Amino acid sequence: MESGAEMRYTVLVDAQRRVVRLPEALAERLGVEAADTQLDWQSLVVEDASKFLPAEAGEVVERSGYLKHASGEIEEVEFACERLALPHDLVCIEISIAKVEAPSVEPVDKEALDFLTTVSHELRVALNGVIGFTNVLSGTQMDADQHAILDKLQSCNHMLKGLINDILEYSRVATSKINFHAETVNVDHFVHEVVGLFRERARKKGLELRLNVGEDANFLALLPRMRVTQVLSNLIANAIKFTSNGWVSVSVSCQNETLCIGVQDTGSGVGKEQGDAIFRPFFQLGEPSRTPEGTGLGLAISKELVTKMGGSLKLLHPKEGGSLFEISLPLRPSSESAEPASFASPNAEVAEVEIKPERRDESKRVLVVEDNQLNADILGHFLQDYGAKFDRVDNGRSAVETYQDGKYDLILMDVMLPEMNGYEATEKILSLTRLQPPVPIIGVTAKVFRRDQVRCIEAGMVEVVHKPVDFKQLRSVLDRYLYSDGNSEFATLDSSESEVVEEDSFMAVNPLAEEASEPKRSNNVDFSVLEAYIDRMKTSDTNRREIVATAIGIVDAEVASLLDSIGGGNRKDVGMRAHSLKGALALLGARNILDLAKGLELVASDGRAPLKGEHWKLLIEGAYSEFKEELELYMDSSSFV
Amino acid sequence: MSKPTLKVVVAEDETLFRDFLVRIISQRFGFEIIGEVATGEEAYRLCEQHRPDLVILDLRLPGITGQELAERLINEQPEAKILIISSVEDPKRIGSLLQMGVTGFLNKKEEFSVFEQAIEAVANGNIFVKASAQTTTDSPDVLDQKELLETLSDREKQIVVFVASGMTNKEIAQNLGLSIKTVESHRSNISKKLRIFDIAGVTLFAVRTGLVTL
Repeated sequence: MESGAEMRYTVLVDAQRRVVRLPEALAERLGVEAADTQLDWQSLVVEDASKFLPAEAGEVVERSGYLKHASGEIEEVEFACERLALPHDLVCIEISIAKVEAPSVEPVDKEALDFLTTVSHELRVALNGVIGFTNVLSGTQMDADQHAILDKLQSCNHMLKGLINDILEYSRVATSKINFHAETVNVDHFVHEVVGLFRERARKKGLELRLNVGEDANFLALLPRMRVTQVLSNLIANAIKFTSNGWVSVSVSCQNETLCIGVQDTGSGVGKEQGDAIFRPFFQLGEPSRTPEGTGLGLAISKELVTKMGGSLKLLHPKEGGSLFEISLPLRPSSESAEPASFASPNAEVAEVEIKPERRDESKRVLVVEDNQLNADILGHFLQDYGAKFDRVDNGRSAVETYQDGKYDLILMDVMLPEMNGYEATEKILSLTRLQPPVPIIGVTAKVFRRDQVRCIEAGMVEVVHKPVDFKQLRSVLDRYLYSDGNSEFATLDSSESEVVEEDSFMAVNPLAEEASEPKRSNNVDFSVLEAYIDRMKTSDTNRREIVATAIGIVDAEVASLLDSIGGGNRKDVGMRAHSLKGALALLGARNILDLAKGLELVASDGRAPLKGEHWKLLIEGAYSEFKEELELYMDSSSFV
Repeated sequence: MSKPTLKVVVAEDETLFRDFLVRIISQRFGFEIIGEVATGEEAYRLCEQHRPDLVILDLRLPGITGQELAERLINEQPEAKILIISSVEDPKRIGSLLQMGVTGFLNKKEEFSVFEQAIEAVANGNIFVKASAQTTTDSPDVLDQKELLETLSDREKQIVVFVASGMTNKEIAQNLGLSIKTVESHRSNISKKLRIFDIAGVTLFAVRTGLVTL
């Protein structure tokens, strides 16, 4: 098998180091007979054969080594050897052979990406300091010259932050599953809005910005609006950037339930020979002369995003004009038929965060838990400016020791701390407190991935703020937890705010708002499992709702037959049906009802335990209707794209 | 990547799971599904008739079991590749199945991507073994609950098991030779310790912490 960058073969070896099973492809490669039952493992490897046999069942030995061909040639490979359980003492050896040819054609260089991601995280930490102190400085008395210099410094910071965010964004988009939040969008209106954002930029360059929306494109559709905006903005911005005179044209049409948005310009175009290479990350780096600015990640991110939405992003070569990029998105018509969903431009939303310059009464006290002196100083300056008193400790253990009920109104908690990390310290403090509601703990973290945020929330933090800290955001978080009445925080998270969150999820994430319909909110259904199931089952002619409906139809029947069987009281039958139901439920991500089915199967197959029919019937009926209710809610929510 | 079209038979008694396998096989791999059946007998008949290239079998089929069927097929149609899918976590079987000549073995609880890897490997004539040692790790929730379990006394654990199996206080009292009052007081302590106040919750707790099998 030649999937990806390497080939894998599995060989079975017995305790006498004889080869029990050898895949034919590998036998051919090595020049030996696959059917040769007398083959000795030692004859295939260079190192001592015993080094491949783990001492105990379940143990896995991983090592690099050499395979010996019948010709005498040797080949470097990776071995992963696992000893299977007795009584059949076998060792299962997986051999991975790296493919040598043309590594450069790999679309995404995973290793480079990992490296960049790591470096970017590190850079962010340092940049945190630069941005923070620049902000502190801008609040002090300065003359006009100094202000001008500071402005330049801030614009450099801004650029650097943009680059780092792009790298992290690309890495996130390219390597993980993204949840798209679909919204009902009037396509015509939507495209006008996005194009409108670029009018000024085009005018400044003396370019005509054309928009051509076909008759067929004036309808309501369910789209992940923020992400489509991101992609379309990127294409228009590129077109403007690479066109020195003439026009940029955006055209929208809808054919066969596919939304097509084309962005064409009169720039010099991209040669056909470049092909899809322009969608590769850092494509421009090979041609430094082409681009004046940008990270070279925009198209790569766009392509990944559109692909993950189930659509495609293509570069076409029209006879007239420069390059033409075309986004095709499969459509699901919106169920809303009334008013078109109204939306403001993303920029307008971001600008809405209120700035409150007035000083507070200095009665509030904050505990800052931060090991990095620089970050602590920045937070300290900020809090002073904000008008709150604070104490600082530099590790989780001290935070727990310092904490007393009533002493602090809020805690800012770094996550990566020496001695005891922020998650643990949060859990400890919350377990010590007798206050209701407990002291609000805000996570402050340089980690950008959703799972890290989820961990913070799981530990009991009420919000997560990202480094470098955005003071506006921190200010509004502090306002909310220090000055509004305790539990009103949910009320303030209206939909426009949660969109800000989605738009700039690295800098201002409020997991409570964003995760509203995510797995963590439900202990009854694991929606990520359900989503994975739907993804696998999806074809071009079925929609996600139908897939779920079909599956539920099957499960309905299984539940009904289990309930019948419980009534009948035949333990063996009950056990079998519970077992069969388990499989179906696991595929759909059901939790409670799955565990109940497990319990019932165990009880039914254990002759000693009483089998109380009514009890199990009630529980299973209850859990199943809960499961279906949550499923309904989920499918009606906006995150069910 | 062009792949030869393989003829595949899927034998799995869980309808939804079978649908799922069939979808992956026809959609992702473009193989031809000759038949999807729920019993060993039907699978055997299909295999005799059509001599498929790949047979995907649940180890636990009603009638002729997957294991018996695999044995017959290996004797009668050695060229057919056999992928065993099992929900029984019995690593002892893996060895004998593989020695017998089965091409692949994996656990039903694996992630979806592992199914694809397994089918790809087996279709390419490779051997695939994933006995699933690592899928049994407990989620954080379950770990929390296991910690809670340790706060219960042995008597309380016993009562949790009884409650989970649907017994009334009266029945529990009789069974343990206690007064109903004592059982009630135990139950109230258990509720406080576990912070669980309904029978469904207690039952789930018992299943998740493994008490039910005690």
